[in-house]
Amino acid sequence: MQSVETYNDKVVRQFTLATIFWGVIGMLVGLVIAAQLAWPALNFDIAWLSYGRLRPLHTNAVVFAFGGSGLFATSYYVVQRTCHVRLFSDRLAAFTFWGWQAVIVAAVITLPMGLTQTHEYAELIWPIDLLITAVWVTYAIVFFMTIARRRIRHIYVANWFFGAYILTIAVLHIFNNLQIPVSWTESYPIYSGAVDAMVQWWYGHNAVGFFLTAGFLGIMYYYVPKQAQRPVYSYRLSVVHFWALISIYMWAGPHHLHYTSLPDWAQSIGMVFSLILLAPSWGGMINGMMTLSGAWHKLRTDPILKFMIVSLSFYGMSTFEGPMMSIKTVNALSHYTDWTIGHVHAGALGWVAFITIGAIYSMLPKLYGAERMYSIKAIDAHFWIATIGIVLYITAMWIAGVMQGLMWRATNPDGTLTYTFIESVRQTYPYYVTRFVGGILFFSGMLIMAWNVRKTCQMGAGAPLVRVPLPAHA
Amino acid sequence: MISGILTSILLLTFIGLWAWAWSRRRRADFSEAANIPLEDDSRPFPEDKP
Repeated sequence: MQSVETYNDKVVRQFTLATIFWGVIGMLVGLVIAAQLAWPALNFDIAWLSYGRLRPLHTNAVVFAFGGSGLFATSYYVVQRTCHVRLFSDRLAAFTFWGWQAVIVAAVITLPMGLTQTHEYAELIWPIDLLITAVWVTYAIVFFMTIARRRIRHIYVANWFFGAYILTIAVLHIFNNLQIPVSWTESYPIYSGAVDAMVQWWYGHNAVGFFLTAGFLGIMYYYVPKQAQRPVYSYRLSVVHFWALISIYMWAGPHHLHYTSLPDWAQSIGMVFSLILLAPSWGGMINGMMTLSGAWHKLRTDPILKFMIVSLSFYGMSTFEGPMMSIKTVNALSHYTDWTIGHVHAGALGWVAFITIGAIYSMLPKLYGAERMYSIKAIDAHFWIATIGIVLYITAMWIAGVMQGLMWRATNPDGTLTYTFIESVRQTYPYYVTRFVGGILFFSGMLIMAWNVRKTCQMGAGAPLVRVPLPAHA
Repeated sequence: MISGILTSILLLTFIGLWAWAWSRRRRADFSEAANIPLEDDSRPFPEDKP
C-alpha cells in the first residue's frame, strides 16, 4: 500500500471549535441586549453599545457564526463519512474556514459602527457580501465535488439536506443583496417598495427554511441514527419529506408581511403554504423521534441523545406554532409582539442550538482521539440548565406577546385606544427580566460545554488521522 | 387553465414520488442506505489489519 487516504478532519476541528467560541460570544451579546430591554440604562449612552446596533450583531453571531460554523463542521464531517472519500481540496476547504471567520470578524466590527444594509439577517454591507459569496461558492464546490468523487453509490439523505441548504443559500444571498454601491459602506437595493420587502422576506424566511432547518435536518439525519446506533426510522419518509419540505418552504415568506402594502393575494399564498408546511416539518420530526423506537431506554443514560430528542420536540413545537402564527387572524394579534421573539427562540435555542450541541458532543471525542467526552455528568447538567433556560425564555415571551397584542388592539367605546404604547412596555418589564434569567441559564450551559470540550481535548490523544475505508476489491 | 394544469402536474409528481419511495423495489436499497451512518468511522491510522 503506497499511500493511505485519510479524512480531512482538520477543517472539521477548526469549525467545531469556532462553533463553540461564536456560540458563547453570540449568546453573550444576546444576554446584553436582553438586559438592556429590562434595564435600558445599560447602553451607557454609548452608540456602539446601543440596542439597535447590538441586536443585529447578536442575530448574525448566533445564526451565521455559531449556526454557520456548526453547519460547516458537520456537513464536512458527514459528507466524508457517508461518501467514503476525503474532502475535495484541502486548500479550498481551508479557504472556507478562514474566509468565513473573516466575514464574522468584519460583522463584529461593522455592525456596532452602525454600518448596515437594514435588511433583516442581511445587514452586512456590500463588500462583506462579496466575501460571503466567494466563501459560499467555494463551499459549494468543496461539498459537491466531494459528492461527485464518492465511493458509495447512494447519496445519503443527510447530504441531500446539506446540498439543498448550500445551493439555496447561494441563490438567496445573491438575489437579496443585489445592491448598487454608492460608497465603500453604502449601497441601495435594486428593488423598491413592496417588491424589496417581498424579496427580503423570500430571503428571510428561506434563511429559516434552508439555513436553520434543512441544514440542521442534515445534522439530524446523520447524528441521531449514529448516537442511537439505529438506522433512521423510515428512509422512504425521509425522501418524501425532503422534496415536500424544499418545494413548499420557498413560498411561505409573505407571512412576514401580513397586513402590509404587499398585495392581499400574496399574503394569502404565504399563509396557505405556511400551513401546508406543517406536514413535511412533522415528517422530519417523526422520523427523527421514531428512530429511537425500541431504544428509548438509552435516553436514561445518554444525555447526548436527550439533547437530540428534545431538539426534535422543539422542532415539532415551533413548526406547529409557526403555521399557526401565519394565519392572518392569529397574526393580527401576534405580529410585532414578543410572541414572535419567543417563537424564534423556541426554534433557535430549542431546535438549532440543541441539535448542534448534541452533534458536537457526539463527534468531538472522535475528532480528538478521546473515548468519550471528559464529563458525562457535565453534559447532563448542561442539558437541564439549558432546557430550563429555554422554557423560562419562551413562556415569558408568550405571556408578554399575547399581553402586548391584546393591549395594542384594545379600544374604548368612543374608538380611541385604551392603552398608550409605553403602558404596554411597562407591563412587559417583569417578562423581560424572566427572559434575561432564562438567557443566563442557557449561556451558563454553553460555558459548561466549553469547559468540557477543553478537558476532552486535553484528555484525548491529539488529532488522529482517520483512514477512509476503501472498497475491498479496489 | 395553465395554473390548473401546472397544479395537476405537481400533484401527480408528488403522488408519483410517494409511489416510487414506497415501491417494493426500493426497499433493499433504502435499508442499505439507511445503514450508512452506522458504519464504524473510527479507524485510526496507522492501523493494524486483522
